[in-house]
Amino acid sequence: MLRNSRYAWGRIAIAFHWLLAALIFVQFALGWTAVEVQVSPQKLGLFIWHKSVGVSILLLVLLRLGWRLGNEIPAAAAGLTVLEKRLARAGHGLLYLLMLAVPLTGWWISDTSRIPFRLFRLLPAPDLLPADRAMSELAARIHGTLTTLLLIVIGIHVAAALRHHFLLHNETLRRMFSLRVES
Amino acid sequence: MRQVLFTFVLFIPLLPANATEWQSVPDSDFTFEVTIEGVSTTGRFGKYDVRFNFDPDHPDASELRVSVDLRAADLGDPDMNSVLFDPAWFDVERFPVAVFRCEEITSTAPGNFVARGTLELKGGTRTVEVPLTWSSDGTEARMRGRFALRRTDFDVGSGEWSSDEYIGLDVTLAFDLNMTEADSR
Repeated sequence: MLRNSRYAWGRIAIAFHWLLAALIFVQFALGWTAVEVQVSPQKLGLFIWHKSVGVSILLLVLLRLGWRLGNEIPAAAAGLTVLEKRLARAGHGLLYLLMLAVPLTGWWISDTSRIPFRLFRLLPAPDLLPADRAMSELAARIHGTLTTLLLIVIGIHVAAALRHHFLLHNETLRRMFSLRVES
Repeated sequence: MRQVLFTFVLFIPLLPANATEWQSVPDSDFTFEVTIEGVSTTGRFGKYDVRFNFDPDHPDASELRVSVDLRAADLGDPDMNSVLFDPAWFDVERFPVAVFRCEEITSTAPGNFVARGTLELKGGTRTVEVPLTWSSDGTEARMRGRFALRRTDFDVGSGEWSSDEYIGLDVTLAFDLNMTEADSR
């Protein structure tokens, strides 16, 4: 079952979810290491991978949003309050927003700085904005703040999923593993 | 006094009568091009001094000396500049100035010359050949040229930077210098 149904996520939606989860995890690791390491060829390499993975995440999130818009959204687990459903919707909206905003602000830093960059060391990145030190520093601050925010929202997302599974004993987490597809 | 006189006398035969002492004007173009991640990037030498004692009819008797203050080199970004000044790159603390001393100038075509001499950079000295063009209206002159160096020949970008994985080994130096008579300033 590739497409979503009223009760379950399709394989495509599940693949998008876990692929992005993995890439975002890798991306945090690359980004933090790249910032910490002192200037060296390794640092340049880490930043190239961080930027390449970032552009990939941005494209995947856009594809994922397109897929989501063309698909049914499985209903929330039974027994949730209106407030819980609203919070879930707001949280997921915020996740999507940050998954777009964090790579975009990353691109903004890269584009306004002077260090050339090729996507996966192959494809020259388009240079859209003039190099501007003040702009790139501002972009870096925003990128950092949004990254922290994304980390917090992911933490809440994981905690909520675990709450569904272990405390509320519903299928919310299981259906993201496609373990129980009921109709 | 005797020594001064002696030096003076020694130099006279080397300087033909219609040689002019030229000096670079600070607002000229003196750049270096390097590829970073396969993308050509241009840096500028902000401070340099070019002295040229030149007689177009007797180029072989000319004297050319170029000194570049590497502390004023500029890649257009403070972070990249601080790397550039680093011991692995220019090491400006120990070697603030690069000097080219011309030993021989030969004319290859009217207005075209090749200056052969030694380049002293980051404590290393190597012979380089610099093709250049020269045009002058008598009071102002223009000296243009470009030549390539292998940065690792001078240990610029040493150690972990000495591969061309991220930053190319070939560096092109290009100059388009406005010159005036040294005496007139």
